[in-house]
Amino acid sequence: MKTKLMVFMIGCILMILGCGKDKVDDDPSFMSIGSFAVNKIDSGWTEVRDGAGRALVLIPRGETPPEGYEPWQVVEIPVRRVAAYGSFDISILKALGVIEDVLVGVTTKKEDWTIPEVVRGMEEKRITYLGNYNAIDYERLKASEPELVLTWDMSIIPMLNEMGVPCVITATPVAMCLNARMKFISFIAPFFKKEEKARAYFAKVAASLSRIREVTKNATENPKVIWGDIYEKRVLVEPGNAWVGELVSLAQSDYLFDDVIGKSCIEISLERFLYSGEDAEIFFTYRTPENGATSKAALARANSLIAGLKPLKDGRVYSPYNSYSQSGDKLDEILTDIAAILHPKCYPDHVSRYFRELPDRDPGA
Amino acid sequence: MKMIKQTWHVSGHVNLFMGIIGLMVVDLLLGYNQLKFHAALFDPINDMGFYRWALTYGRHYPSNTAWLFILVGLLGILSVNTFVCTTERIFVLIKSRHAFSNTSRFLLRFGPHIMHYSMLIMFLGYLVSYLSAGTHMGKVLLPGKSIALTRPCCTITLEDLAIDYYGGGRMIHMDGRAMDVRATLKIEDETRIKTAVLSFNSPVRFSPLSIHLKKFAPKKKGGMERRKYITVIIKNDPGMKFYFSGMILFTLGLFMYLWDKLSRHTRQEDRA
Repeated sequence: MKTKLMVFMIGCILMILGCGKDKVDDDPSFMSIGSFAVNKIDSGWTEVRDGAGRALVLIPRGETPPEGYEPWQVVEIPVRRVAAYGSFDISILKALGVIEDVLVGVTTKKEDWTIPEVVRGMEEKRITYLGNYNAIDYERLKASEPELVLTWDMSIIPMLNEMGVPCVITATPVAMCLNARMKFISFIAPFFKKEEKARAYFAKVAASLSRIREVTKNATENPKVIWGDIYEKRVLVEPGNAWVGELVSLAQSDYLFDDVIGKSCIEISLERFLYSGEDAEIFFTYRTPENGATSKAALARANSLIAGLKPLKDGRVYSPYNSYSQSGDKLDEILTDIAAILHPKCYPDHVSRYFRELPDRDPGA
Repeated sequence: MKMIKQTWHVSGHVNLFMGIIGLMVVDLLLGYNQLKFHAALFDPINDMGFYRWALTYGRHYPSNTAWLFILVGLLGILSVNTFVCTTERIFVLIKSRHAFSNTSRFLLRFGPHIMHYSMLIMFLGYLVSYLSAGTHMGKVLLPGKSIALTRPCCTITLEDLAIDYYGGGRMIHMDGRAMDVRATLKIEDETRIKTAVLSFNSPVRFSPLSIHLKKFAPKKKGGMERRKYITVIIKNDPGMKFYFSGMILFTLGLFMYLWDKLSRHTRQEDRA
């Protein structure tokens, strides 16, 4: 009897411990942000863990590097020159207010940018186009003299090590959850000593999320949503653990791929996609109008397999504008935009800035 | 002396064992949820080691990680319980050695106890691993390029990377996808040079290191052109010796137990 009672009591304690709220924001000395982490190890020193699980130590400029770290692991802060691959990373530099001061290299051409600071920087030759993301020009990279490279491409690590340029892998093996997406800025901020800006950004996005909860809590409809696309030989979707999946669920909607767990843009079987597509009411496609997403009819023409999906027949299909992927600094607006698409009755006057509802047919067709 | 005896007796009691198992079930059920929804908090244990992890992730996210500390504690008590219980039974067995008609029958009776001790050795191995393993994460190798490790000092070169792609045509979605990867590595330190082929589930050993394939590219032919490379995890794991020894001992104990069972069964049949 005593043993049973002990088991029960300890079980209850464990339950209470396990169901408690995360102590995430109270202690800034250590923060886990999805696969990333920031650890204040000593006065002025910070150890960070990037998306590949590599540890880097950030030390104030001019200080002697601490022992136990290899040269590629040491980054002097504040970083003054950065080359970056991902548009989300670059938009986070904008949110930190350092984009015009530090960005020196990108892997997207000038005509594809919607961030005015990047376009201006490229026009003024402060920012160099380093070449396509899968084959950058190392001579151009060297000439732009970056002190840090933010990239998702692990294959450039050996070359950067040879050049003596530290790099941070900003992609993760599993998709960023909503909390990690909102806090990613806190991972980038210590490189530029802009932690205050990061806190303000997080507070702004968290407030927008609270508003979304409040506005949609009495929503009567519970739309079924899918997010992804079918390509020539592959079917890619956003998994349930990705921030968009979490947001859809949080906004009183039903994300039909919430059982899919893994990296962002994860591949699933065609049958699984079509199975959910038959039930869905709202379909977010990855394709932009430039990639053929001009109307439902155009999507159906591009791939006859999706012609039978419910959203294409009598639902709604949304395509992102180019600005969507380059507006990480306005994550609060993006979240609100998605919530408004899911519950138009809750946001009667909302005009979407990041997604376009596809018409049935192309104008003039 | 009486107290020591009493403590010894209680710590090896079967009721304690049942209690620990019950608690472990509850704890692991909670842990399952934490692992499922907060996996990122636990992944770093593999390369940071338990001690550093406990000081960072463990300490700062107690509501998510408490179950693991409790599990470690329960495993510790279970180890003591198993050690005491097994040792007591060994003493009993030795005392009654004269009851056996020959030595081999007597020795075979040690089978289950060897299995229990091997479990403890395996637990010890995992403890050593998580407390003192040194893991290098995210090491990228390009064909023809080398990386140098400082601890222990050695150089690893990717001499060749062969990726087999599916070209059968029967499974259209597998067409052009990678089926197998073989990376030829040359590893050298001051005194040794080793060339070996690394692939999934086939790590390369270069004492005290083991090199494991984590990722490779390109995973398919055509499409976005990717540079050829592999990502490896390099481990220096002193606990490995313990759990391999534990596994060998466990297998030995299992064979002894089965042999003993079979021979007793045969004897009973002969008598009948």
